Formats: sequence, C-alpha cells, structure tokens
Amino acid sequence: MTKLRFENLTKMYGKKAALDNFSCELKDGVYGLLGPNGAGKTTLINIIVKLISQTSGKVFLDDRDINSISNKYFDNIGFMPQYPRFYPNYTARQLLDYLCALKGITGKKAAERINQMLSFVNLSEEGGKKVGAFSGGMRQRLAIAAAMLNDPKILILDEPTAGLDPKERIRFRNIISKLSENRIVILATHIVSDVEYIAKECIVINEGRLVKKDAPANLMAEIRGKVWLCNARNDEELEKIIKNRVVGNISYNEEGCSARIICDEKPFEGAENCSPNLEDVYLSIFGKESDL
Amino acid sequence: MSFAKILRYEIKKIFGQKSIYFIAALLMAISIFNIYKTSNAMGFFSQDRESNYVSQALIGEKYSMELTDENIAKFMSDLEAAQAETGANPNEKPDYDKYYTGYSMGDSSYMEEIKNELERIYFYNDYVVSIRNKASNLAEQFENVNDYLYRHNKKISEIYSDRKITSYAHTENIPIYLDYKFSSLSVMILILLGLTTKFCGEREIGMDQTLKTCKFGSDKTNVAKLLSGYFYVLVVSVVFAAMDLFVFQRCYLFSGFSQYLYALEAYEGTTLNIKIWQTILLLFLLKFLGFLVFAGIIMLISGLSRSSVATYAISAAVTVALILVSVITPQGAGEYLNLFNPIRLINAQSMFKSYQTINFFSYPVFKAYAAVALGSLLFIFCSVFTLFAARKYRTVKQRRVKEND
Repeated sequence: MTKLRFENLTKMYGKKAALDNFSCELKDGVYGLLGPNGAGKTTLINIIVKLISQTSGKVFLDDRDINSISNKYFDNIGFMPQYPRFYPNYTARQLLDYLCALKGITGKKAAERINQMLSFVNLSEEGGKKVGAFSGGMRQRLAIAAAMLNDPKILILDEPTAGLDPKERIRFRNIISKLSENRIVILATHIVSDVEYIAKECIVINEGRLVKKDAPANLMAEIRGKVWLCNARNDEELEKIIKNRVVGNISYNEEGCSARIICDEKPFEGAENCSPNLEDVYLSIFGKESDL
Repeated sequence: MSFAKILRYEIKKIFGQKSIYFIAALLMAISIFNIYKTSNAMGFFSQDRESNYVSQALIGEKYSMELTDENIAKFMSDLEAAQAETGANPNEKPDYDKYYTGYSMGDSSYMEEIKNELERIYFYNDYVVSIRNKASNLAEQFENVNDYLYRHNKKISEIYSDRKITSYAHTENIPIYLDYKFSSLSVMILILLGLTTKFCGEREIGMDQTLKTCKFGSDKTNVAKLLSGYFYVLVVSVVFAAMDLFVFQRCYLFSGFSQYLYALEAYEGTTLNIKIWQTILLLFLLKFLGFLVFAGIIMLISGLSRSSVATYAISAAVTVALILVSVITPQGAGEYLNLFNPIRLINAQSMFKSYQTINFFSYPVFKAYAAVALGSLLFIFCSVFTLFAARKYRTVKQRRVKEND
C-alpha cells in the first residue's frame, strides 16, 4: 500500500502563506481535494509533483522524503494538469510514444502500454488522429492516458472535468474510479459532485490550512439536520428567506420557488429538513451568509 | 535509448515547422538569383562571346600551369602570336574553333590579364622576402627593448617564410565566393525562425508542466533541446555552404582549389599558409562555430522567456545589434568588443586577409584565434546557462502558480 504523508507543509509567497502547516496522510484510494480559489490546492499539487518547492515542512512517499529521491520519484507520479494541452500536430499515438520516452519506458513495453492506455480511455480508434483535432473530452481522456503510462503509485488530477459536458464527465469519473485500485488518486476540483460519487475521502483546505479530511458520508452526516428546503411564492418572499443565510440551490417551479438553506436551526415554520449532499457540506464550510 | 528517442523527437519538433522550408526555399532562390545576377553582370552567361567570362575561364584553365621557364616561355609565345594577329585583319570574322572568344583580340586581352597575374605572382615572392627581412630586422632591434614588438615581428618573419607561389590557376573569382555574405544572413534568419520557440514554446503550448513531471522531462530533455538545436544549425549551415559552393562554381567557373590561399591577390597578406580548399573548409568551420554561438544566444533568450512573440522581438533586436556592432565598430575599442561577436566568426574571411593580432600580455595573438577562443567560451556559457535557466525557470514560475491556485 502506498503512503503519502505531508508534515507541516508551508509555502510562503512573500508574507502570504499559500500553504500553512499542512499535515495529513493519504493511502490508496481517491481523495477529493476541495477548496475555493486561492485555498492552496494547486500549490499542494505543485509541491507533490516537484514543480515548486515548499518553504518548510516535508512530504514523504512511503516514509521517504521526496526531496531525497532522485528523478526516479517521477516513476511514482502521474500528473494531469488543469486544461492539459499537447502538441497539436502530433497524433495521439506519437504523443504517448514521446511521453513514454520521457518517462523512461522503451521498446515493446512502450508500445504495449500505449495500446493498453488508448484502449482504457477508449481512444484506440483515434490513435492516429492529430491531437489538435480532438474535442475537449477526448483531450482529457488522452491526458489521463498520458498520466497513467508509467502506472504511477500516485495519480494527480487537477480539475480533470473542467469544461466537459455531463456525459463526458460521468465517463471520466468512471475512468478515475477504475484507476483507484492500488494507488492514491488526488482529484482537485471545484465540482463537488465529481468527488461525492468516487472519493474515499475529501480533503478540504482553505487559506492553506487543512479544514477537514473525512469520507463524504461522514462529512454529510456532520450536517444532517442542518439542510432545509424552503418554499417561497415569489421573489420578494424568497429574498426574505435567504437574507443573512447560507443558501444552496434555488429552483423555480409553477408554484413559486424553493431554496436549500444551511443553518443549525429551522429557519422558519414551513421549512422542510432534507438529506444533505456534499455541495451542502462545501457550502456549510465556505458559504458566506447572503452571498447569493 | 530513451535519450536517443527524446533527441529524435526534439529534432522532429524543429524540422516539423513547415514555415522553415518555405523561408529556406525563398532564401535559397534569392541567393541563387543573386549569385547568377552578379556573375551575369560581370559577363557570365552573356550572349556576346567577346565579353564572355566563360572564354576567360577556358583560357585560364588552358594556361593553368606550374611556373617553369618552359611553360612561361610557351605562354609568352602564344600571347605574342595572339597579339600579332590582333588588328591584322580589320574584317576579321568570329572563329570559335581558333579563338575562345571568337576573336584574336578577345583572346589576347584575356591572356594579357594572365600575364599581369603571372607578373604579380613573380613579384609576390620578392614581396614576401622583403616583408620577412624587414620583420627580422625589426625583431632584432626590439629584442630586449619591447617584448611585444619583438614577438610581433618575429612571428611575421616566421609566418611569411617559405612562401612561394609555384603555379598559376584560374582563381581570380574565388574571393567573390569567399566574401559572399547573403547565405550567412539566410542561415541566421533560419536559426531565428527555427530555434526561437525551442524553450519558450513549451511554456506557451502548456506542455512544460507535463514535461517537468516526467522522469526525463527536465535535464535530459533540455540537453536534447540544445543538441537538436545545434544539429539543426549544422544541417542548415551545410546545405547553404554546399549550395554556395555549387552555384558559385557553376556561375564563375573557377578552379585551382589546390593553390595556396596567398596566391589570391586579395589574400596576399594572409597569415594562413594553407590551400584554398583547406581555407574553404576552415571558413566553414569558423562560420559554423559563429552560427552555434548565435544559436546559443537565441536559445538562451528562449530559455529565459515565456512568450514566443517577446523572444522573437528580443532575438531580432539582438541580431540587428550584433550586425551593427560588427559594421560600426570594426576598429579601436570596438575591435575588442567584436571578438565576442559571433558575426566576426560568421564573417571570418575578413580576419585572414592581412596580419591581424591583438596584444595579449605582450604576446601577439591572432585575432582569429582570440575570436575562436572567445566564441567557444561564449558558446559554452550560453549552453550551460540555457540549461541552468530552463531548470531554474520553475522557481520564477512559482509566483505565477499562486495566481492560478
């Protein structure tokens, strides 16, 4: 079992801490990395993939400081950056062949691995097509094939479903689920629903600090009884209901409109308690009152 | 194994740029037209055989000879015969079987030029002896008085000893070929086009993160990038050098590559005691070093930059500056500045036309040697610093990472 441990990880940009004494431990499985913009997600990822170095603290892979491991460290890493972009004039197969060389995979093993990965992400038939002609979804799938070429112990996906349509997103989630066996998958995203279905645990960070780290079910259990569905007949009534409250989805129907409100107490008499989802958890942590 | 493949891909990235082929074809066409046009203006390919340099080349080739009394006597006898026939028949009709130009006057006037060249060669031997003797005398005078002038004159007397031109060949137009600069400019333009995006292009495309998180995506890839860039310089240099030699030879019909360089009037005072074909090879190597330095500078700019537009602009400005410095300040302090200038190496023939040294701690050092040494140092510096910059770029990037967090 792979073990990735962060110990008092701090990254300073001038006087501002992008990561502030961040500590936690990850084992095999999918981890959803959640947090608002500027929370420190990308900084954490960039430290793991050694694109940047931390100001203080350490990262351990199987109890070895990653800075003491040579380039071989990258044998353990598969990284899919946000909005992956590749050479547009390369075919998918050429690109993967090139990346195999960069990852030190050569000869027959490279050819085998390319075929496996293209098949895995359902791009076998498109292997000879130029990457420039790929749709967003195809490019994302190619990116995950590229990240998986070296069969890494740690797979890091930065906003992997950004810009994908719902069908591609579901397809992508299923691919990630399949990959989570015997490896750590870190999935940084703003799309909370992506994490809800596939994550073993959610790592919630804000202002560089670890806020919560738990299974989605446990996180949801924490706010059970605090999510309310409130119906209103018109916008004026809705305004009164949501004023000074943390608000989730608002939906309109023939009878008026309804809003999900997160608060400890029943907000008013007609409000109905409903079962929470991960989005509600996210809002309960980061949602400011009346910011909608 | 992996490195060879990475190198192949890096080479492919350069040669995969279609614009390079288009621009190269255009520059080659311009160069060929330019050489043809210049040679034509001098009478090559002229319809008028009387002013046709082909005839001169044929006459020159006929009288290419070892300078023995017998050969000279034979030439003089032919010249006198041609001169005797000149003007004898006012209604002379062209006879291409008898005369290369069709006319006795045409042939004799070219032979007169050869005679002048033979005289120059004859007196060259005396000229060299006088230089050597003068230098030896000065060396004696400056011994224990001025170390630099002593060594300077001693070196002159050594270099210009044992020089003798023993044969004549049709080499008159070779200096035009040696001085030709358009192809060098073409190679520089192609280096600019091919290598400007070598490093910054990855950042612009967005591949740099993927590369840097691969096992061999950093140092090995950067080395492969540099090597592929230098390989590209080699290919472009060889193609243009071969084209120049072929087109010039076809247009100017010169021969006599086995003559010594100092046999050429424009290179009488050269410090090189080597043959013309060796000089062509040497100049190619020096030009190649100059192009390598230039490519090194361009890739260094690319390694430090993020946008290809900015890199193009800076590289173009640097190129213009290098050319201007080489043109505006060839003497004085600029002379020393130009020793660092790759244009000096690209235009190396100018350093070999006369005796040119610099005073290096009382030792006379040939400018060519200094230019090669400094060019090599600059090349190494650019290569190492490019690798360093490409490696360290992530540190610079950290500030930007935060913005995307």
